[in-house]
Amino acid sequence: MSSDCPLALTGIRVLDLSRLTPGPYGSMLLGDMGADVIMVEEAGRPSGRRAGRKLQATVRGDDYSEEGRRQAAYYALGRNKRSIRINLKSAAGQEVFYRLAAGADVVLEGFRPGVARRLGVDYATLSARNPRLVYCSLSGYGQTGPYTQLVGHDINYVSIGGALGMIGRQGRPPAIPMNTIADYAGGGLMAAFAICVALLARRRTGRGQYIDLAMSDGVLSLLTGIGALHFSEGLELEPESHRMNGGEAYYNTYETADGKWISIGSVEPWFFARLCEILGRPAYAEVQYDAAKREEIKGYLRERFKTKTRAEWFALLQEEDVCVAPVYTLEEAFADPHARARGMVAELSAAGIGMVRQVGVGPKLSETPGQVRAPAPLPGQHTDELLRECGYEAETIAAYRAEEVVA
Amino acid sequence: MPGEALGALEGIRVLDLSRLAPGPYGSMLLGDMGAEVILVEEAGRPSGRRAGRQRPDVRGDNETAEGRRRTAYNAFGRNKRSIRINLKSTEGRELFYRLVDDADVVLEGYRPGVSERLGVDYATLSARNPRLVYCSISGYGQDGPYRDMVGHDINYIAMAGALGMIGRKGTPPAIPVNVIADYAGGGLMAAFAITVALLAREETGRGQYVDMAMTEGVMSLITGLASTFFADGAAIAPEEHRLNGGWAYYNVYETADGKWLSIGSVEPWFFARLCEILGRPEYGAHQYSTDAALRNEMAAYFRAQFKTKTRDAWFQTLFDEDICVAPVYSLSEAFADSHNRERGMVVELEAPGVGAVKQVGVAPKFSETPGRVRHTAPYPGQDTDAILGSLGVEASVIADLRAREVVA
Repeated sequence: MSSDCPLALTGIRVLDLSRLTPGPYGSMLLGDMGADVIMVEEAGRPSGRRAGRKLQATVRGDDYSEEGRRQAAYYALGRNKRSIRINLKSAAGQEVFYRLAAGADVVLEGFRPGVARRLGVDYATLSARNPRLVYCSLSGYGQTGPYTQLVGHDINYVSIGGALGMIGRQGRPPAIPMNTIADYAGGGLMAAFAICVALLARRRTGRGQYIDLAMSDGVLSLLTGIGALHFSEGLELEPESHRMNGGEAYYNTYETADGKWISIGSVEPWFFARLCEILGRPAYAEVQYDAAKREEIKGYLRERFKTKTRAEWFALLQEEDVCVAPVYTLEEAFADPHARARGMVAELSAAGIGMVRQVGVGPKLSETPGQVRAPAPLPGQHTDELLRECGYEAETIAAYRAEEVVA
Repeated sequence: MPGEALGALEGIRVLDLSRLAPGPYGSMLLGDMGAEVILVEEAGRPSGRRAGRQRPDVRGDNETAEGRRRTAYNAFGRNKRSIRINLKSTEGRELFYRLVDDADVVLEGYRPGVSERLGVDYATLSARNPRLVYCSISGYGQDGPYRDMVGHDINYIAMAGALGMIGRKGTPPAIPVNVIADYAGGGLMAAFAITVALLAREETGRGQYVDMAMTEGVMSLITGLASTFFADGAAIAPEEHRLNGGWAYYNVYETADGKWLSIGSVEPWFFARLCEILGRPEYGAHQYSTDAALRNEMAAYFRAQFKTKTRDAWFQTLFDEDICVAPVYSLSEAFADSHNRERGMVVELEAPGVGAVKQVGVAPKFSETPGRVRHTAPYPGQDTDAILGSLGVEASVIADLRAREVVA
């Protein structure tokens, strides 16, 4: 990926008012593809219950200390972005934001429903100034409905969405799938998709529009296939009861001699037949879907996989058509030669820090490949630059800084 | 949702060669948004090891009541049309090429190399239609050492480092159904990438090739966790991280009725309030304590407290208290929930000969060009005649093509 390749979303400007994970991941995806993403961050002292409190959650450094710079360099969700700090609670700060919005294509926000309006940065206000604006509100439960004001995090959205109840092993509490399903997939990625769809619609209609995206809705959408089985067959999915969540021998994880795990996904009968052959019990291929034989086959596979290390099994089975993969730790996943060969570990140079590694770009586009061009900015790193771009004079900028309108 | 509103992707034509879950979900998302999606399905008798095999979760045909019912409930096929073409015949391939001339997107999910063998690869098609966006969805991508390795969702999330983080101590990793690789890192990521390429085409005038590996989609979905790993080298073992059940403030608890409740009190002010409600305000200051004894004590206290009321009673109590709380729903509960219903996440539509069927609705709500579920899935080949007719193929020729199993 040479840096002189054109980028897919060059010329698309995104104002990102969101915090934490879902919104920033969505705008990172757009930024990787070339959009000019501007993080609009708080200026002025934090007030209320948030004052003086820092979440333990991974956030990028918020100061210019060495540790702050280091955190920012590794903070992939902020890469390829610029940052301006504006006090949106001041009239002058609001005006700065309106000027930015006048030249923007997209605004993304993740406030609790109602907050954007209170701050004067809601869709109605901004679209009156810029009718071409695509405005996406990303929230836990959406802008309407009984739970609209309910606070939550990923674990709650996957609960309400019916996903968490299916994940786990029998006799144990549901297993939490990190924050991949609601924050990243149903939230940030779904938002990035919806924003691109609205930008495509704008080419025809000439107008932007409002997108109300609830992460709980995103989770339900990701269950479309399982939902179809529920609606047609009344399927309920208890943990470890179904072929997709560990109920069957042919689609499961097995411990190996070295205490690691290997995953087997031999859904197709011909793949399972080959696996049974290799494991020395070809007869099991005939009873792949036989409920009465399920525990026996599982027991046999558990014993067999204990006889070699994970690496030995993977070496043995990877040349065979069986659907196998090692259950990797993060370290192993990012060290794997295939992931490396496919550019899934990006290396970039951060000023004063040196080379840092981040996750690369998922989809590979042939003509306008996504790129990791720059590490995350420090908060307010581009405040002056962006104010100048909006036509503010140096003395106004200085005055705004002194008044904590910007920082 | 006004019936006359145009869809956002009106005028975008997608030819979908993919099977199973990831590709069809991706093209369903495009179809919900107004794209014209044509399923290009096999004609001619299945051969080789696939012959005679039927899966319960795929669409049926129009011959039987059961086939019609399965088709009606198959949400992946909704809003789409279907043509059956035998791509292994020269004539069939030629018909496909004519469809490509008017298409904006081709989506395929074959094992790498198969589309070349069938003559429907990007090089061949883009030579005919340089504006074509062509997306290949595969497990591990079109190059690299694992290119030819077969797999399913469980393998892709294992390889990407996601599965190893999911589970409870002392149990095998817990399989998160096929959400993370098939639907999220595969279908949804592909739909996103396709719209990006369509936007790029507005500027460049040309389409391009998108190589979408589900494993890499999954790696992208753990970007934040990876950042922490790259910065600090921290490994994430099951039930030891704040996001996988290692801490009291972000976990699930069994309630008096044997159901589960999820608590996500990440913010200190939410956690402090929760401790107050549960009768131990002093725990509020120890949210992130690394003292193992104290953590165990807090976890045990929480477990005991939540056992004293039913799940729904807790939800009621905590709902108004600014606690990040939710009931862990079964599928039927999720789809019956008043909020999910009010948000339009269950749609009902009329399927000819079957009656009213339910499907999952459209997630992003657009103000001007809302996504819609317009009709149920077609039977395989339901639109063969109409689509060939639109290419100018005469009825007598179609009859002949059918007789020779070039189309069906």
